[in-house]
Amino acid sequence: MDWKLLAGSIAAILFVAWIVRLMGLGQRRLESEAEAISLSADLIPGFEGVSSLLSANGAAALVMDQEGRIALIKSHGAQFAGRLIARPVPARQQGDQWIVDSGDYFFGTVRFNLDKQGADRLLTMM
Amino acid sequence: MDPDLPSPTELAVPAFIILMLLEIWWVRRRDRLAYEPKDTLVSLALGTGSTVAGALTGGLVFLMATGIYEYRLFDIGYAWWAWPVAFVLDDLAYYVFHRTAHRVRWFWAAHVIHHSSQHYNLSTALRQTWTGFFALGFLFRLPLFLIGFPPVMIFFVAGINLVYQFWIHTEVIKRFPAWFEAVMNTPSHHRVHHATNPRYLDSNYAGVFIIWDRMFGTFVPETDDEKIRYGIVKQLGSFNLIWAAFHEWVGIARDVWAAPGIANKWRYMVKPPGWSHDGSRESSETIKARWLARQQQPHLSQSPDKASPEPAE
Repeated sequence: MDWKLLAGSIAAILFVAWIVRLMGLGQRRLESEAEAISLSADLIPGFEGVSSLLSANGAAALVMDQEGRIALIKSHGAQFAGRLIARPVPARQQGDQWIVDSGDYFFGTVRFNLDKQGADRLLTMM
Repeated sequence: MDPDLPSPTELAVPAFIILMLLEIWWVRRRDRLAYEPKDTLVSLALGTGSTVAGALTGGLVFLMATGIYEYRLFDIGYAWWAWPVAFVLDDLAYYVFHRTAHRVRWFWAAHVIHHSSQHYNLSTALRQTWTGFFALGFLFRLPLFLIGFPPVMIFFVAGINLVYQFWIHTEVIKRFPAWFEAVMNTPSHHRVHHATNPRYLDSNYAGVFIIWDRMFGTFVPETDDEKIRYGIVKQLGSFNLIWAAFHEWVGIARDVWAAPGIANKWRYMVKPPGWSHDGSRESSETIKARWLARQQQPHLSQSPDKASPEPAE
């Protein structure tokens, strides 16, 4: 094991990651409910969303299909990731935000910023 | 007497870093989603961890290679012609390994790390496995030593093969002239390999020469009609380094533990990723088959495919 090479590699990867951060690369948000529906089909094979609930900051969405299944979509860096979640939707309110649990430890919980109407829609899923 | 050869990958490290910085500079105004700080950090940390894992197990692999070389069928030695022949045959061995790594879950558990980024850039190339030795990936090169290629020669050409594969992990280069695309693995061909779009699943396993895919029926050309989505069918959704390195092994352990009967436990290790004993999950075959079926129904082909079981891992 070449320890100098290892140390140099670690320094280099920190430098490269810092450069990427410095340039502000990799920031993306959902623009519309239609985009969330389209994304859910890409992220979960066989899932065909018909309606969606978008977080006001565009960082997350819940998408429902015709069978009543629900896909939880979250921003993941510059991309998005999704999971089918159990019904009723495991959500709880914390201050101004709603927190939805994916049921997957490493996928984690997802925060939603919802207005009154959005919160009402979420409650109907619970 | 074995020649004292340098490590091609170690020599290439400065070039890797310079090319990554150039790519970042290139994409900063053209595609600001091409890089993401956490994703880049995880990719590069996995790459560094992979070199540590390789250093820890490399001696054992070399010892095995030398042991098998003792029983070689031919005395090839270091003749000049043996170098290009070794390079081509090693690339064929890589093709077989790589194809198996996508079709047998045990090998996939180690290889999935390389596919776990949703980005496709030069840092993705360095997202390499930590568990290749444990998965027995070295087995695929052993026949070359039995034929009579010296271990030093094979590990050297394998290093060059790995270095070649670095630069094809980019969206910056679109297409090369047709003659080059016909023979060599290129960014276009390898983008297809990293795609999760159903039309592209399980294709383009080549390392250096795309001819293997053309010969063995696994070649799929890139189309400009559909935006590529990168990563794995069930995206990780996490930047946890340790989870990225071991998640599929955890998945295997859970499935083997819960599976009914010895036969099913075995199948969870050796069947393709996404296989399940009760058919409740999807594999790349089922996803691709449904997509193909929908292509034959023009009125449905514009919308996503219908209801199905859980996605493949």
